[in-house]
Amino acid sequence: MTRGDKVVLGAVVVLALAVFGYQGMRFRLMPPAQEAQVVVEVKGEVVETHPLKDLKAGGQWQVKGPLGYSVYEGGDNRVRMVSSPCPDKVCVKRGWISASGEAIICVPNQVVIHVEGHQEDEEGPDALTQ
Amino acid sequence: MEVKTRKLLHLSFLVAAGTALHIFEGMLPALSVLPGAKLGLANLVNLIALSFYGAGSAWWVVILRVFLGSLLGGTLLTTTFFLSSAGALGSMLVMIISYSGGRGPFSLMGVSVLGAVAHNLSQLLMATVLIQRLGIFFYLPYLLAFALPTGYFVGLTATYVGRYFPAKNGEWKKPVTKGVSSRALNT
Amino acid sequence: MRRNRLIGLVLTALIVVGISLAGCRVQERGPGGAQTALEVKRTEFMMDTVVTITAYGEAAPAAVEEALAEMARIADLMSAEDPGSEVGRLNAAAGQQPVVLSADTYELLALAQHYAELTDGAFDVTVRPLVELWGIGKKNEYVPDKARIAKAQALVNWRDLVLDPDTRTAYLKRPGMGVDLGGAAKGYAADRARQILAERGVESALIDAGGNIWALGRHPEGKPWRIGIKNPRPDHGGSVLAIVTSEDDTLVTSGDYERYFIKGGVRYHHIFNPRTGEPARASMAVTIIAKNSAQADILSTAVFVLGPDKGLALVEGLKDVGCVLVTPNEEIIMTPSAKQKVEIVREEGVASDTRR
Repeated sequence: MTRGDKVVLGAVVVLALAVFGYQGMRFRLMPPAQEAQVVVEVKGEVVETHPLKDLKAGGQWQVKGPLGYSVYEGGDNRVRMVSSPCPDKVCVKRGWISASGEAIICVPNQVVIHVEGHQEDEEGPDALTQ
Repeated sequence: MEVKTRKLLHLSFLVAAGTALHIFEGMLPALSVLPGAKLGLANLVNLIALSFYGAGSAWWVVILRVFLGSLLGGTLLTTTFFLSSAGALGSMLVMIISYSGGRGPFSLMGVSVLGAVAHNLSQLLMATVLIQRLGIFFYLPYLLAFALPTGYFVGLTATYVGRYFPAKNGEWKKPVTKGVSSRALNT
Repeated sequence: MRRNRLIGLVLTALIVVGISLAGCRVQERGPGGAQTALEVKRTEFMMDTVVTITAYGEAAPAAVEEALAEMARIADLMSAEDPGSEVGRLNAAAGQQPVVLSADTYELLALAQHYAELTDGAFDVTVRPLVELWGIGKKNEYVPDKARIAKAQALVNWRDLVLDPDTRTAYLKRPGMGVDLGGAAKGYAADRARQILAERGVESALIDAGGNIWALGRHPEGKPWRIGIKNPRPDHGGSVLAIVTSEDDTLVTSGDYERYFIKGGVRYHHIFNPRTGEPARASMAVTIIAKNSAQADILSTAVFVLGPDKGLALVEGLKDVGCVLVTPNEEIIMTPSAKQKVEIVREEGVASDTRR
């Protein structure tokens, strides 16, 4: 190891830490793209995304649509609609979803909750016919 | 054998070995946690070419290696091809400058680490151009952290290989191997 | 010496060309699944469901807008719920007079009648009275008594829908009858969207019209699309039943799990058997793989009603149509053409006595 080498190694470490620290402040909320994400949309606009694994059992979340609040819950790497102000409750009956491409769709309240997976995941299909 | 022929032969071997390493690396399962992270094995032949035959020959080795490797790996003119070209060329440029014919302040390890870092940076730049999204730079610190040990060991390997190559009658340029004691090399 | 060199050069060139031709189908992903193609993804609510178009390439942004607008136009024409739509006006004029229709609605009704004839009424576009009576998926869903079912069923008969190609009119012969294009309109709209995307130069796109999929061309990375078929009972074996490797195919599924309610341990769903006036019992889910989504939409309903034996026989007689059927016992049956594209991924160990 020459002195030049040591300077290089040190500089790379410092650079890595600096970029890491900068990101830590700037992109704290941006997770790596690999994890399965729960995407919540209202009227076609994304309003929330959560990593699927972060929706812990016991917790409930709500999102406001034109008719009122739709409530969903997670746990065990899946998510379902618990209650909804819509008349038909199709979304609640849909039950749990977990696979990439699956969606809970509440047409009256215009709420869509879907799981987006794993860009790198070769197993997940591109779309789901249902 | 004529010196010129011998040089041609050696460079061809380096291209062939580099191509094989290039394809071999492509066959390794991608690290799902860190896309784009590579061992940089093919950089080994670039370093050897650079240290023995200088910048001009090294350019040829790297260009031919990327072309052949992509051709045989079936990635020619795909995204992967552009990414590896960008990485290889960017890396070679930085290595040539930092090595400066053996007169630079760095050993092959330092040159190799710098090359690995340049490889990552140019790949990320190319990827950003291709997908028009800056989010890719999220991976930079992890890639840099990965480049340190891989770059170091590739450089160390190149140093050892250089030592074991026969250098007779001035047919080889004597490689400059700073930083590794001859004792370590003899064992 | 010079000649040898020439031969060597020619051989090398041949090898290079050969290898690059052999290798050019293999593509890899760059870091982060990097894609060169521009991706456009738009979602809209229409036809009682959600429509999502994902398209790739420079032509995508404008083409997707146009395709969605066209789908919305089709939806407005064909909604049975909207009294102002063409279908609404046709139903309102039942037993009174013929109604002049747009080319779109007329064409789709004609296709529906064609399959009604072919399936001897297993697919019947005049199923509206039953849909209204049961109200499945609506607030007022319930199990009607036999008399009311019989009364509604008497109003369902495709032979009493008269189409006249010369005047482009449709006429429902008896008052109280009604057309419901719920089993065909999504497919037709998806076909129109696919056509627009293709005409505008999009080579790679996914149209998802509430679970009806049109997979246009190939995946932007050059490989075929992988389309999942939903497992009708996700509690048994996971949420995906099978993966279809698909190139420029449309996939439509009819299942008893889409809209239903359960009463007294019996599942009442939205696909009716015109013969019984009740939800069809011969299948649990049917997926049609075809090149025309309106046809696939109609066939998925028809095969669902006909069941494994007659249904698969019907499909096997048609060109470019494959079918995956899940029986009420959760067995999977496929046509030979489907077997080539479909890989079952349901985890086995499925209980067979799980009728609901």
